Amino acid sequence: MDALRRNNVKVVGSGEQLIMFAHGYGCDQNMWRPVLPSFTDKYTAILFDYVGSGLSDSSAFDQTRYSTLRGYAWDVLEILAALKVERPINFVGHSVSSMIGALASIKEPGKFETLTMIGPSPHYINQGDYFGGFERSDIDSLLDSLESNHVAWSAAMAPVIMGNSDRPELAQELEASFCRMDPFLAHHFARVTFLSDNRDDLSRVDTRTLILQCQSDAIAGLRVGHYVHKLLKNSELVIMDAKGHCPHMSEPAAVVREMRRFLQ
Amino acid sequence: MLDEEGEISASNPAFCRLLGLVESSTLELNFRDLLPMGGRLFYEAQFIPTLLLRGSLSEIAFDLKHADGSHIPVLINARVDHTGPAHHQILLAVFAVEQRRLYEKELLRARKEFEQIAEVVRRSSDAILRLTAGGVIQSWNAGAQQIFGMSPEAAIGKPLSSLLLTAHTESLSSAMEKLKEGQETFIEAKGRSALGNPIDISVSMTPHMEAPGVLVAFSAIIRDVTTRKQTERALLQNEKLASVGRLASSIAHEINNPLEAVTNLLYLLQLRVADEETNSLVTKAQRELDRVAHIAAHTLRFHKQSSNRTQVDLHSVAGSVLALYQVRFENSSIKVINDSVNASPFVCFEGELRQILFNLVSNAFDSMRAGGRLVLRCRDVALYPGRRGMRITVADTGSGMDRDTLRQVFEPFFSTKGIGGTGLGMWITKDLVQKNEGTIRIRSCDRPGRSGTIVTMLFPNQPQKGQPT
Repeated sequence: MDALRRNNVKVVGSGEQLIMFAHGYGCDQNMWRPVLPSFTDKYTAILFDYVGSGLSDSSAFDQTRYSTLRGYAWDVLEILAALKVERPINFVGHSVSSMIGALASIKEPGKFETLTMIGPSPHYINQGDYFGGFERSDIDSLLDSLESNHVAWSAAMAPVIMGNSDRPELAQELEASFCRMDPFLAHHFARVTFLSDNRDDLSRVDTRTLILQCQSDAIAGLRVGHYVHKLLKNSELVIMDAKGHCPHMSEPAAVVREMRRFLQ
Repeated sequence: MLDEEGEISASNPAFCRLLGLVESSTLELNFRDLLPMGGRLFYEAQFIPTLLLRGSLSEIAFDLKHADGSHIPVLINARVDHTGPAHHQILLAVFAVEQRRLYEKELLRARKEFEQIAEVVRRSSDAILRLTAGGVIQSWNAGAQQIFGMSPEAAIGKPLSSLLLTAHTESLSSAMEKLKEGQETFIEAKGRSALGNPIDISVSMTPHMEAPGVLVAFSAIIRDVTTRKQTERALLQNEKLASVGRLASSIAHEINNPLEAVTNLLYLLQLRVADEETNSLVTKAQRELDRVAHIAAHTLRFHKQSSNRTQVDLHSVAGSVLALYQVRFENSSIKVINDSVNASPFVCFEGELRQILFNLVSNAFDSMRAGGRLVLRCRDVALYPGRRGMRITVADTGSGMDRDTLRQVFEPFFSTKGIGGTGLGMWITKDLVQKNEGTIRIRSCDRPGRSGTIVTMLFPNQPQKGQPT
């Protein structure tokens, strides 16, 4: 299987350094549009879609491989291998991709210069002393929500016409396809994302890490951010004065500022 | 209307009525606070990023929390508005859809149920087919693929009759006539397997009628019954053998009395014989009669089933099994060595041990039609520290087996003896060995000049009843 086609890999920019952007559950590589232009001058940026998201090849889906986040992490490593990258990359992961990046960096630490985690959570479900923010029943009700919305997301699965600058009306159609997901695989990805427990993996990460935590994030709360920071030995925690789970979309300027400072 | 952080900046009275809220109170709320936890996850992880990228979303299903704690199913159309002074605003149109959601839930449930049934059909090991009224195959499941070795592409569109051997075309067409009258029908026929071998199949067909007399389609469940048929045949054969055995044993029993009488008469006769020549004739007659008595006694013992383990002398058991073949061994110039005189008394089910040895000796004999050597050896061994056992070896210099034969040798119905063999001998042997907690191993070579087979069995010693373990 050709990893580049499987994961719809796009390489943009011409900088000497490498930066890889990994989207979270619920969207695709397009979610990086607001921040991407700020990096393409100094970096060569690698974008991709996880299998089941965006324009990835859904036929590559393998239930067993993707039954844990490791399967997704091996995909990241396979993309790097397929691109024959010769120097360590800066990995930027949103939400669940923070953990996917962590797992990939544990497996092949030499391939990672830095990790940037936006809204990470190693485990979403409360357990004993650990506060993840959710109960198991909340996750089940999320899965119900996904099911009720099968139709809305499938509608966007219609064939996509790629953007064409000569014909601006096509751009709108492209826009309508952002964050499309195969409904069945979205359900699967949601389950794996929200039921994973990677708390034990955090202490095995050696890569220098930036944690971007929003002041108020309904999915990964402040306590979770502090928890991740405590267990990652080589990490820096930045609490941003922003609300929501996608600061790179709602407050792109602030995210770019923090990332530039960290990557220098 | 929401600001960029999701705080409600304006709402109409209808929205407040829907949620049972006082109008002014909505202004202190973030929209996500109106969602139950699961919906909140969906809202943050999927709805907001997608909305920001696409600019609008329509007919997204959410549940909103009512002031009284109940959940209200709604559909939401959303648009991002960049015209205001702030970053951006999100405009939401919210519709209550209680009835519709119930209907959708029912549809979803029905679809799931249907998918489960479809999955059952898809994975069934029986072939389950949908056919047109004319008998053309419309669907082809995994079972069909396995039985007939045809892909769905190759099978769909073909007539059902193409799966059967031509001899059965007629019974199929009369079955199809019955279907048209609305009757379920069942036929047994022969088809062709993936490998091209004829297989026994049972075909049961169910008509699907639309109105009286109007057959719109039918379904067929086809099962590969080759193994069942083989079993039936083998059972029949076995039953025949068993009754022959019973017959033999009752004959042996009946013979015993006259045999004893003749023995006594010969003894009396010998006392009255004076001349040497006649005496030697009588002695010869006595010796032959002894053999008859021996065979009769063993025929009886063979049939007697023991339900308890008893202590047996392996040398004599081995000897009596070999004795049954003695004449045939001599005729085929096979040299027999019974090397078990040193074996300790062994506790086992005697009848079963006899059957095991008989099966192995009979196989050895069959492989040495051109003569050879047969060794039956019993030895005390240590299975592992603290556990003694018995090793029984049957070795021949016969034709041996090739790798394929060796691999299948313990499979039921596998036979190299053509019509004469049931293919059950080694299968039963293995079963009997295991029943006596033993293991069986076969080494064989079919290279000319060095061919032969060695069967080695290991049995743990059993404590005899009443004895301390």
